[in-house]
Amino acid sequence: MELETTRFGTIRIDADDIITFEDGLVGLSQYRRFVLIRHDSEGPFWWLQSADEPSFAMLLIDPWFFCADYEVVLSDADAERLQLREETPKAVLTTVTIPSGNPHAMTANLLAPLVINTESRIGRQVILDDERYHTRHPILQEMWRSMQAVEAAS
Amino acid sequence: MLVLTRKVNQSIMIGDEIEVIVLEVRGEQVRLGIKAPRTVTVHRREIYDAIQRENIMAAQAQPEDVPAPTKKVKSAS
Repeated sequence: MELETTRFGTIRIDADDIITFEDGLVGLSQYRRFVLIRHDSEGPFWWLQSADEPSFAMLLIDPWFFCADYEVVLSDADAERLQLREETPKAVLTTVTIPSGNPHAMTANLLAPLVINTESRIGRQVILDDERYHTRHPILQEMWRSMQAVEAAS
Repeated sequence: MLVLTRKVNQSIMIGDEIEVIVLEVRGEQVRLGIKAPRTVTVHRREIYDAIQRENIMAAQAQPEDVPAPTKKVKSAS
């Protein structure tokens, strides 16, 4: 099937590509059905494109790209709603904010990652109960910190 | 909005399963206890608002805003 999008034009998707967020995103419950689009074949960026609203797409990043020690511990309630078990294949991505005119100051929200059960195609934005994480982690600084941590450990 | 007056150790029920208890009042701070089923999520309002703000910002990004291909930096070998 074809999907109209404002940013990417008309794209071809399979019905299986649709990911359902039953409760929508935090503060944006009007959008429930999405597809993931990779920004480019090399980088860590993805887009969560609404399957119902062509103009809605959120920029996401693979959090382990810049924060090697990132940990996502799901509450029982979230794991249950995602139908996740230990062995279920899943994906975790976090939203990215790019301040206008200053892309190097971009931040990621490590407090509220998007977790996707890639088998049943159910997604959920969860809020972690972990004091290490907040809504605006500077991505480049985190990369630097991670690299130093890796070097120190080796 | 429903407004109720409660004293310390008194509570309110929201439906049959959610109970909010006033544990302590100290000046401007109120400590609340919340008993709810595991499937009910409870968060501070300001955290919820901050996440909503980031979601809206992330949805304003355009493909041309994304920094050019960033190769994962490896530690010097």
